[in-house]
Amino acid sequence: MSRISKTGLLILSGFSIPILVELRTLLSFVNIEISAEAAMAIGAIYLAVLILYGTFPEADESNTGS
Amino acid sequence: MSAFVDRFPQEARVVRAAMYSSFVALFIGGVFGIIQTLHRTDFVRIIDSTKYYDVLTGHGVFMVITFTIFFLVAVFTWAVTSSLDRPVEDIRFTWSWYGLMSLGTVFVAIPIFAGFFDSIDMSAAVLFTFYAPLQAHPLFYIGLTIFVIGTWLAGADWFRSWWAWKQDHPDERIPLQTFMVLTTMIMWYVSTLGVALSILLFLLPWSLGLIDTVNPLLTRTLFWYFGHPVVYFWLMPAYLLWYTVLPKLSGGRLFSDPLARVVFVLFLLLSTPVGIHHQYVDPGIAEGFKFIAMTNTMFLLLPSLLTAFTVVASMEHGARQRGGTGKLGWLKSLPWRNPAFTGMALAGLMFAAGGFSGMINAGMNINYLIHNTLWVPGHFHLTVGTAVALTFMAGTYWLLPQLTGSRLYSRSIGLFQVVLWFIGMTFMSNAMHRAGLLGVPRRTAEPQYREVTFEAAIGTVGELDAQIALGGTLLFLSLILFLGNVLITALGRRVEDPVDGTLPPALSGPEDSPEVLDNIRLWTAIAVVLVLLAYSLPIASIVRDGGLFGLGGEAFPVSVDLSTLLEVLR
Repeated sequence: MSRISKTGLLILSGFSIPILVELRTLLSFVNIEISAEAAMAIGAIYLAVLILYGTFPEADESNTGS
Repeated sequence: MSAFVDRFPQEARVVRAAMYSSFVALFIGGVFGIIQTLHRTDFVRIIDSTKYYDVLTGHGVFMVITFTIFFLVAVFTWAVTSSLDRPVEDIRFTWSWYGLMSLGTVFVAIPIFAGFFDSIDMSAAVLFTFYAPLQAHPLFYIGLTIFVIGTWLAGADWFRSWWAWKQDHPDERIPLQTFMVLTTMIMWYVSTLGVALSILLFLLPWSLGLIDTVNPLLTRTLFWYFGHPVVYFWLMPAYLLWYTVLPKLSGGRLFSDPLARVVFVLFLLLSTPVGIHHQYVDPGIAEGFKFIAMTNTMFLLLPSLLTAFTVVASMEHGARQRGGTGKLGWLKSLPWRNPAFTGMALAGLMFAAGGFSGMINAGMNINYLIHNTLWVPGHFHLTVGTAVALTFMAGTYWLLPQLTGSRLYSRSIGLFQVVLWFIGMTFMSNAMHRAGLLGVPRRTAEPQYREVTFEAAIGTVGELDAQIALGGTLLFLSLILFLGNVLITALGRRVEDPVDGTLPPALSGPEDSPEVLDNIRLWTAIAVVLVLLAYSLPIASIVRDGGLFGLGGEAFPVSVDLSTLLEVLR
C-alpha cells in the first residue's frame, strides 16, 4: 500500500500550487532573489519528490523487528 | 428515504430545467472567458479588439446573471420543497416564473450576440455594470426587467409555500433552509428596487429615445445600490450548501442552527447599505457618505467570520465522527475522495483569500491603489468565480443524482475537475491581483500602452500574463470536464437511491435559537430603515447637483470611434 493515496497526492499537489506560484515573492521577503526558471525547477522537483514519496510502498510494520 | 425526484417529480423537473439553463449559460460565459483571457494577454487573438466589450459583456452577463441566478432558483426550489417536505402550491406558477426568466435571458442575449455582426444595428456592449453613459439596445434592458420579474415571482412562490406550511404547523420554527431562502429573497426585493428604478425610469426610456439625457452618477449609484447585494445573492445559495450539505458530506452535523440564522439576518440587514463603496473615486458623492459605506462594509466581515467558524467547526465534528484525532490530524479524516466535499472545501478556502482582498477593496484609502485595476477582477474571480461557481459545481455532484435518479458518472473526473479549478484559479487570480498592484488596468483589450511600462517588484508583466493565460486555460478545461460529467450523468439510467440525500439535524438546533430570529417582518423593517439612512441623503445630493435626468447640454451616450482610439494607443 502506498504512503499517500492518489486522492491525497492530488489534494496535496493542489494545496502546494499557491505556495509554489508565490515562492519567489515569499523568498524576496527575506532578500533571496531567484529566477522564474529556478522557481519552476524547484516546484517541479518538489512535486516529483512528493509523488515519489507518496507512491513508494509503506514499510510493513510486522517486518520491522523492533 | 427515496430520492427527491421520486418524492417530488414535478418540482424535480423545474429544478432540473433551471439547473440545465444555468449550465448552458456557464458554457457560453466560459467560451467568452477563454477568448478574452487569451486576447488580453496577447497569446491568441480571434476577435478584433473593437469587439472586446461585447465579449466582456457576454462573459459578465452569462456568468453572474444567468448562470448564478438560474442555479440559485434551482437550489432554492429544491431547498424549500425538501425542507418543508411539501410540493409547491401551483406547479403552473412555478413554470411561469421559470419561463419569464428564460424569456428575459433570450431577450438579453439577442443584442449581445448581435453586437458581433456589423450588419445588424444592435448591440449591448455595456458590460455587466450597465450604467450610463454606455447605452445598450432597449431589448437588453427589457430582457433584464423580465428576468428580474421572474426572480421576484420565484420568491413569491417560495413565500407562498412557506405560508401554506405555516398554516399546518403554526407553532413550529421555520426550517433552516427555508429561513435562508426567505431572508435572501427579502434582501433581493429590497436591493432590486434600485436597478428596477434605474432601468424603468432612466435607461430604458433613454435607449428608446423618450428622454434625451440621464444623470450618469444617479444611474451608477442606483446600479451599485443593487450591485453589491447581488454579490450576496450569488453567495447565499453557496452558503446554504455550506451550512446544510457540507457538514453532512463531512460525516457530521451542522454545529449551530442559531448561528446560521444570525448570519442570514445580518446579510439581510447589511448587504444593501454598502453599495457606495464601489464608488470611492466617483466625484459628486461627498466623502462622508463614502466613509459611512466603508464602515457598514466592514461590519459585513462579521457574518463571513461567523460562517468560517461554524462551517469549519461542523467539518471538524464530521471528521472526528469518522475517527479523526489530533489538533490538525482530523483534516486527514475528511472525505477528500468525494468531489462534492472537496469542491466545497476548496471553494471555502479560496473565499477566505477573496475576503482578504475584499478588505483592501473596501478600505477607502487603500482602495485608491487598486481601483479599476486588474486586482478587482482578480478579487471577484475568487468570490463569485470560485466560492460561488466551484460550490455550485461541487453541489451539483451531490444534487444532480437526486434530481435525475441516476448516479454521478465519474467521481474521479469530478475530483480532478474541482482540484483543476482550484489550481487554474490560483494561477489566474493571483496574477491578476499582482498585475493590479502594478497598475495594470481592467476592462481593456489593450492593457499595454506604448509610453507606459508597468514595473514588477518580482518577476515581469510577461510572466503575470503567462500565468493568467495558463490559469484561464486550466479553468476552461475544468469547465468542460464538469459539463461532460454532468451531461453523461443526466443521460444515465435510473437506479434506486443514487445518493444519500438525507440531511441530519444540527448539533445545536432551532430550539436553541431565540424566536425573534424568525421575526421576518422585524428584520425587513430594520433593513429598510438602514437603506434609507445610507441612501436618502446621497441620492438627494446627486439629484440636486446633477438633475434627475441630467443637466441637459451634450446628449449621451458618449460615442468613441474605437478603431481610431486603438490606432492612437498602438
